[in-house]
Amino acid sequence: MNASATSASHPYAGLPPNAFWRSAVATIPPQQISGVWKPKWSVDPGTPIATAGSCFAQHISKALVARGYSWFNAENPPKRMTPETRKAYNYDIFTFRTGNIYTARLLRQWVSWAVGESTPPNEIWPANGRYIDPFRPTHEPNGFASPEELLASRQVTLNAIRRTIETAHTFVFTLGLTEAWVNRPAGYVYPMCPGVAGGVFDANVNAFKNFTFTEIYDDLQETLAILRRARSGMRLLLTVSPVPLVATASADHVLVATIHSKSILRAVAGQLASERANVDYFPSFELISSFPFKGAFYEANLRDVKPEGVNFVMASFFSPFGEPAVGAARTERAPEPAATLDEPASDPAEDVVCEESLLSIFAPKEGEAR
Amino acid sequence: MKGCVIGNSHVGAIKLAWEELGGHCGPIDAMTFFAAKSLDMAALKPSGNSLTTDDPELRKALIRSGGSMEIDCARFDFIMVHGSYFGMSALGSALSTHHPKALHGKLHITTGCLSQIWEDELETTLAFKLLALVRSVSNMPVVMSVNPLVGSGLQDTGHSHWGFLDTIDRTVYDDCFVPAAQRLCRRLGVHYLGQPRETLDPARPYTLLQYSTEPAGLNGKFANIKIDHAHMNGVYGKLVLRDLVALLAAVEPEMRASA
Repeated sequence: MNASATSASHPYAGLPPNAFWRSAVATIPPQQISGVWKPKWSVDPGTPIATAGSCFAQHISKALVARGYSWFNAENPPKRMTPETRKAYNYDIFTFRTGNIYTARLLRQWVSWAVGESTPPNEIWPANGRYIDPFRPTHEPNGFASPEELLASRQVTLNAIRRTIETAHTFVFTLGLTEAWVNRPAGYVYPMCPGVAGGVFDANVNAFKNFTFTEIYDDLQETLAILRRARSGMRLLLTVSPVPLVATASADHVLVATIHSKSILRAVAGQLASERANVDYFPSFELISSFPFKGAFYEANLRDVKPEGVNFVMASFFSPFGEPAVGAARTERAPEPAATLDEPASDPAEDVVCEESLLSIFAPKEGEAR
Repeated sequence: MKGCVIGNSHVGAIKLAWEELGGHCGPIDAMTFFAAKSLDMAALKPSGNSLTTDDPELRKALIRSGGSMEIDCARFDFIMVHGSYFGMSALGSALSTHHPKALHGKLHITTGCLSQIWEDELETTLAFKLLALVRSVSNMPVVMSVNPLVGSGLQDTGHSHWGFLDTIDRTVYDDCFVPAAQRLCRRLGVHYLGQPRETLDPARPYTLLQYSTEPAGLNGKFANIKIDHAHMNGVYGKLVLRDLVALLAAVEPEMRASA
């Protein structure tokens, strides 16, 4: 066989360095891994971008604001609200005040309610003379004063979602979980298991659901269909949260359940991105959790993402839009990855509103058997 | 029982009432009033058991109103901070875009959220600073007597600064302000003294007209001033003193403990 003729004819011959593990990963420091994303469409500081999803989605909102991009905030807080109160009442966290949307089914449910294709159920959780919204259970720290107030507040959020659909160019949605709790007779999904942040768990009504690839794929397809019926043109940028599950109800070990969950979400995101021109996938999950990084971007609890991890991800996100490439920036500025980026270091576990974390209080203490 | 009142021009109504009562009210047989206009009291600072100032103008105001250039907290059985922006004005900006009933084209906001915003705003007031200052030099009972709501006569003046009051009803005051003020007072370990109930307009967050006629305030010294719908009169002041006496009866064990 003629070697030169062979090398010129096969498809790997002309591929760029980032197509090869050795040059793109194995022989460079992990923090210099770059060029991981080629966006299907470009955004600029004037492009209205909406964000929602799991805890990790909040980092995208903050990074967009910090870099002067047009993060679309459909529920602006009142003037002179302190940062602590804004956070407590869920302002400025996601584009609309739904709280965390961990599952594709919950996203579909909210979007369907917002455009009027379906109606929210009547379920409201009383609590010591106050009222909790089952679909935004951590929203009002002391509960709503009345069912009417709860519904009025939720309607503001539904209006905000509708306004987002009418306005945003790109919707960044971070997939977080496959596991959820549903109301079995009525078929709707909760953001949190009833009983954790309000309500009463009823085994006859509330059922555990671990969504499959097909179900999540269908939920996102239907979400896209609803969005398109409301207004064509919105683009969906999917990411997968690299934050492991706080707890699983699947009966599997939480490590196994986490990998199962994230693998399915990653696969669905990739499938949709490969099939649809208006869907893209940004690999935040890979940039934090894949093995070349050896867990270095996780805090000691191996769950919360360190600021330098967030910064690394966000630099990779913005680099195709003109920010310095991650590796280049690192070389120019400082030896540690955190110093390559311009966001102030902070404790992400402190800054991020993460409803799922409430489950951790039910974990057995060290040495406690169950 | 010896009391001390610290505050801004709203102290005038209390002082006038005290004088009209002949310098005696229930168990209170002596009352010293320290008042300075607007935000001037912000220049107070702690010094031992006292509050003093380096500001010559405030020093003059302390002498003029209370007869001393320092407030020696150890001389009193209780201290009451009055007015000093601990009231409604803090909320105007939040209500410019949001409304608890989503009226006037504004966004809906919950009473809980509005109340929390109010509590945060009250922390930025002169009253909050004065309460913290008093607490830093003394463990005696401290009372926070709220800033009176503006007089209902203001509605006819088209005063733009207070225009937001016409967009809300009394429930906003009762359901948002009062709990916020009470929470803040609890946090500071001070006693909350609300506006006398009978002085409140039942429908809107205003003080009834009759309490803001012939008002008392500061005109260099305590004096009757022109009607401005912000300051109250001696009748109002007497009702505050009446409620203060009722509050002090409940506070007496604390007073004995701090003596």
